Amino acid sequence: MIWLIALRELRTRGTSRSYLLITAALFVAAIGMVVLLTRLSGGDDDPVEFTIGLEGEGLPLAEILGSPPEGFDPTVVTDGVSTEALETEEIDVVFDGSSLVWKGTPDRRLDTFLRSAISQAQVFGEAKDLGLSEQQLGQLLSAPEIEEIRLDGSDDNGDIDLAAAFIAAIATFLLLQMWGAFMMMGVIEEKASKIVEILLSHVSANQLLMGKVLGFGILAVTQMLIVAAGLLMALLLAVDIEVPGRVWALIPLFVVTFLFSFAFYSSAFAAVGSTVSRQEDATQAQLPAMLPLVVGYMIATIGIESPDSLIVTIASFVPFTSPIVLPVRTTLVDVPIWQIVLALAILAGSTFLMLRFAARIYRNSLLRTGGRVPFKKAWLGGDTDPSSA
Amino acid sequence: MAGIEGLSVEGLSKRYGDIQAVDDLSMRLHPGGLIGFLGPNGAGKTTTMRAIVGMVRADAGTISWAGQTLLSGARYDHEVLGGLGVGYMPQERGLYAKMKVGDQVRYFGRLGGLSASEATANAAQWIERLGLADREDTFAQDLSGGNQQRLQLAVSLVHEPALLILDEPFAGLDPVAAETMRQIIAERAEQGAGVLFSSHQLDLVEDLCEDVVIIADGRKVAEGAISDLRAASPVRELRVRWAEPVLGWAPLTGSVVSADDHSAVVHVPAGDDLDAAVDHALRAGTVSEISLSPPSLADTFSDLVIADGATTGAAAQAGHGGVS
Repeated sequence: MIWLIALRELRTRGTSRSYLLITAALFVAAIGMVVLLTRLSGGDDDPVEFTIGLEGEGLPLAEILGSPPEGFDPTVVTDGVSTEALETEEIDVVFDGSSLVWKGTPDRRLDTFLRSAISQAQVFGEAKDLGLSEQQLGQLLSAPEIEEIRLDGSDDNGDIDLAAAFIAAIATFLLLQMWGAFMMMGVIEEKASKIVEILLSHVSANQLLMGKVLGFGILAVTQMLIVAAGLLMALLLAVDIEVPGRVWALIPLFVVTFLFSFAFYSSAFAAVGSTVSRQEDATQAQLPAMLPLVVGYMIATIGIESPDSLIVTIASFVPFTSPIVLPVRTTLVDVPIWQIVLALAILAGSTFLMLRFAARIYRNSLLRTGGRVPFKKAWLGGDTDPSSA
Repeated sequence: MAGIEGLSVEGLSKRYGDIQAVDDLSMRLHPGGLIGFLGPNGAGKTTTMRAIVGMVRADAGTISWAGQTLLSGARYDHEVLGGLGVGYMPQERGLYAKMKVGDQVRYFGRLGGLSASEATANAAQWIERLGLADREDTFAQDLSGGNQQRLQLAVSLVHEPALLILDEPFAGLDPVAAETMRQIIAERAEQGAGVLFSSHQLDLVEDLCEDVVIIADGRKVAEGAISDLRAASPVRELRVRWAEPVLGWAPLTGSVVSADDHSAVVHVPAGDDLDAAVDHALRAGTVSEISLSPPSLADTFSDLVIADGATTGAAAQAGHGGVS
C-alpha cells in the first residue's frame, strides 16, 4: 500500500513539468557553480601578462625577464621606449634603471615581481663584474628546498573545501525547503479536494504519510543525485580543480544524512500541512517546520566561516539543524568518527520520533476542515467533531 | 464475533467534546443486504460510517465484517480493512484534480486491493459502463460536473467491494446519474455485496431497499423492514377521491392531513375501527379511488424522529446546533 502511494507520487510528480524543469535548472546551476569556481580559483594560476618597456640603464633587465618564473608572462619592448609611450603604446610599465613608471596604480604582484627581478639583475651584473661564472652564481643564489608543514592539516585545496561545504549547505537547504513546500501542497491538495476521505477508507493515515515521504524522497534523492552527477561531471572536466580525497569520502555521509533529513523534514512539513485546509493558509502554517531549517542554514553559514565554533559543533548534533550543519562541519574540519556516528544516530532516532509525531498530527488533522487546527488539538485528537473543526 | 457473516456493529460510541455523536449503536448488514441509513442532520450517520471504515476513532464498540474484527474497543485494524475491500463514498466528494480519469480509477483499484492487471480490466469496464470511455485521458479537473460524479462512482466501485458504505450517494446527482447509481447499488446487492447508504431522499430509499436503520441524536430509534416499520406506525393513512365534489366532509375519526372538494388524506389511529372509517368515506359520495395503508416512509420517519426528540429533551437537540 505504502509503495502504491509512493508510486502515484512518482508518476504524477516525477513526470510533471515543474519537476523536470527544476531538476534541469539545478543540474545547470551545479555545472555553473563549478565553472564559476574554476574561474575564481583558476584566476590565480593564470600567468600575469604584461608588457614592459626598457630604456637606458634598465635594458639589462631584459635578460632576467627572458626566463621568467612561473606565473608571469612578460613582453619586453626596447625600441623607442619613453615614458610618453605609456600613454600611446600597449605598454604597462617603463623601467629606465632607476624608476618604474606606471600608468596608474601598479598591480601589487607585478610590482613585487619586478622589484625582485631588478635586484636580481643587479646581483647578476655585480657577480659578473666579480668574475663568477653563471654556474657558480646559480649555486650561490639557489634557494634551499624548504618543506612546508601545516599543523591544522589544511592544504591548498582549502578553497575547494569551502566550496564543497557551501554547496552542501545550500543544496541541502534548498532541497529540504523545496520538497517540504511540495509535501505541504500535496497534503493540502488532498485535504482540500476531500479525496483524503476515500484514501483513508483504503489505507491508514500512517501509511498515507509514509507513502508520500517515500515517493517524495525518491524524487528528491533522484534530483540530488542528478545535481551531484552534474557537479562531479563538471569537476572531472575542470582540469584546474583537484577535489581532495576527503571530500569524495564524505559523499556517502552526505547521502545518508540527506536521507534521514528528508524523512525528518518532509514528515514535519506534512504534519503542518495537514493542519490547514486551504493553500492560502500554508505560508503561516509552515512556520514551525520552516524556522528550524532556516536557523540550521544560518548556523551553517557561520560554520563556513568558523567551523570550530561551539554553536556549530552543538548544531551538528541537534536534529533540527544537523541536516545542514553536519555536512558543512565534516567538510571543513576533521570531525572524529564517533561524533559523526553520534550525530547520525541522534538524527536517525529523531527521524523515527518525528515520523510518529507527524503521523499523529496528520491522522488527527486530516479530517478537520475549516480553520487551522491548533497543534494541541491535533496532538490530542478526538476533541471535536472533525467535520466542523 | 467470529462466524457472523456480513457487517456487525455492536455498541458503537463516539463522543466529540460535549456531543455524544454516536451512542451505543448496533446494527447488522448481511451479504446481499441493502440498508438505508436514515436520520436527520447531525444524527451521527457520517460519524458511524466513518467509524466503520476506520476513519474516525470510536470510543467504544466492536465492528466486524465477514467474521473478521475491524474494531474492538478503541482499536481499529486497518490491515483487516485493507484486505476486505470496502467501497466508501464520502458525503464530500473528492478527486485528484490533476490526474487522468483512467489513471485515477486504476489507482483506486490498486488501493482497493486489485492486482495491476485486475485494476486495468476493472477500470476499463467501469469507465465504459459510466460513459467515460472517451474521457480516459482527461484530467479530472477538466471534466463536467456530471462526469466528475461518474468518475467518483467509478473510483468507489472499481475494486468491486463486498461492502459498500455510501454517505449520501444521491446528493447532488443529476437524474441520469441518480438512476445509474440506483441501478448499480441494486446490482451490487444482488451480486452479494452488503450496502449501507445514507440518504435524505426517502422516496428513493423506499424504492431501493427493504431495510432501514433510523438514528437520531446518535441513538438508534428504529430498524427493520420498511414495511414493518410502516405497519408499526400508530396511524393509517386513508386516501379517498370522489367522482363529484363533496363539501364539508369530516372524517369519522383521526385527523385530516390535506383535503379539497374532491379528495382527502386522513391519518386514522391504527387502533380505531378502520372499517368504519373507510365506510364513512365511501358513504360521502361516489368514490373513484380509495386506499387505506400505513403511512409513507417519510411520514413514519418524521413520526419516529419527532417522538425520539420529545423523549430525549431539548438539551440534546440544542447541543447539535453546531454539528453538520
